[in-house]
Amino acid sequence: MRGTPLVTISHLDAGYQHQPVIEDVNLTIMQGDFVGVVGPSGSGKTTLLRALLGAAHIFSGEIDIAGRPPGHADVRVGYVPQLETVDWHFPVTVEEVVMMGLAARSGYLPWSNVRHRAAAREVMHRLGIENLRGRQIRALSGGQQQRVFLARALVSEPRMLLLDEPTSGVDIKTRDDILHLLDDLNHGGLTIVLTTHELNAVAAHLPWVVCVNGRVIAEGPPERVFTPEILRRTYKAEMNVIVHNGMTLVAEMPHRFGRSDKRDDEFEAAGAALRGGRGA
Amino acid sequence: MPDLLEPLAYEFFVRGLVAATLAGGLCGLLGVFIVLRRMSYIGHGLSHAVFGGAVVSYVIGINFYIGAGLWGFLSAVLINLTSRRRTIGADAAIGIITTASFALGVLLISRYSGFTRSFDAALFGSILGVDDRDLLILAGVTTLSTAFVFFGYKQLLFNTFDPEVAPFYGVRSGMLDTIFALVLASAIIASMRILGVTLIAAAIVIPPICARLVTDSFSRMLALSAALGAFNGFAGLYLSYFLDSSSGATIVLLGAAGFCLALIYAAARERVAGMRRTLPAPAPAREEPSIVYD
Repeated sequence: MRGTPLVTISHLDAGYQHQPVIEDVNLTIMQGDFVGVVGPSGSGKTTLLRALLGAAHIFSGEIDIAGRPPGHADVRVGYVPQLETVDWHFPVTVEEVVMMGLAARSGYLPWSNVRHRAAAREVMHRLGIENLRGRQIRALSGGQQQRVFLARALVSEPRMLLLDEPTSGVDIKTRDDILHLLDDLNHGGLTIVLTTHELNAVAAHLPWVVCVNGRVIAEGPPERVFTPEILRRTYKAEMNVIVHNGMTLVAEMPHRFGRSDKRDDEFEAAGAALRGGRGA
Repeated sequence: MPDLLEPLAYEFFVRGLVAATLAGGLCGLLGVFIVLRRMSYIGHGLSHAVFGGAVVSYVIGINFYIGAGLWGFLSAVLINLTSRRRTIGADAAIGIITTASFALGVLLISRYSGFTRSFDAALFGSILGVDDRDLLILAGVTTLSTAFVFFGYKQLLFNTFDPEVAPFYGVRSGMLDTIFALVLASAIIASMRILGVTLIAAAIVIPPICARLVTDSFSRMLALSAALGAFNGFAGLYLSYFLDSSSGATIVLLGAAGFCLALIYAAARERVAGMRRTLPAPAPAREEPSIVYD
């Protein structure tokens, strides 16, 4: 048992206009879960998140979030979009972006009240961006930018945090920092669902993974879900899974190892050993 | 040396001056949201659509403000709805809907004669056409638009910055977009007599772009754009009296001159900032090769 359910998805067909993208999805997200949704591009990862936000068309099936339908005002869900969609030239500061998380709740005057400003400062302080509050968002590093949008979601005091590819386009150190930060927030009791293409990061940081390709292929702890068979069914491609010192690593099948012709034999042997499923 | 106070002796000019200042400020204020949403073409398109509505209301004999207002609002809502379909895009939606409306106006003009002069004024702007009722309507629209921006500031900011995400945080995007369309259509109709259909787009776009070039703050951009628009309206009309030129054209050309100055200022600021930046330290000399072969 993983705890009490926060989200229950039953026989869900969802998509846009007249086109279902995900079909017959059955999924339960528990209170305090930290879930990674993986799958190839166009597999329906973002559609699943948007369905949880009430922004996708539901053809059939049901979503229940704490006894309410998705998009209901009583269920606060924080959403962090893909940073690629952000207009970085927009004249807005870090603090203004964070305060947007309270825009619908802070009255009709252009300025925010003391309580909301204090809440925003507290969240910025927690995420280590308080000293950047007056900066224009373009003048930040990738990791700082991600924290700003995370702070906007957190300031709304969500019960669940949804992140669309939070580790896309950032370097390995920033990715690690972001995932550690999310892990800390999860340990504070926040339910987190994120989509990503970084299988090894999921394996290293997340306790629960859902493989999606038009439907749910598998779900469970990464070490049990990341098998060559499940990954082949998810990605329609052969992938190697190596377990090394307790770590689950997913590797692509190489066409050819190395650069030197002299070493071809050596590399061929290593490749053959991997293909033989040495660690899988 | 011309007598600078001379035009103020004419009542029509004073009325026009107030109207031009209000129209310039109003267009500058609303233009910020249009420029930042990258829908600059909407001002151009909507004013042309309103022209079609104005002709239709003349032909069927209803009040200009009611006919053109309704027409402009419907065009704005239609543009909004069409542009949400990703397969079409905002620019194409604006192009189709507004040019069709403009073409309808032109077609009706070619069929019915007798109102060429008043539509010259509608196309290019004229302070002679401004009466007390026009001024009252312009003042009313300016007050309502300013109130809308003031009380909706936080939600408008979020909706302009991130319209896809804002609804997930409780912002009523659809309602805001519809009200904004109504406010914009009203602003265009109220400003049409001063600036003219063909020049109104520039009054909507130039002040916010100038403001954007000199500030990185949204609130300052709003204030500056409205102030610049009002200044262009006031000074442009004053200038047009002494140059004996079209009021709309002079206001827009003054704005364009301001844009050149803002561009020079932004370039100079960037250059100074670049000079202040510390040059990176040279890379240390490589003591050993990075690739070691057996």
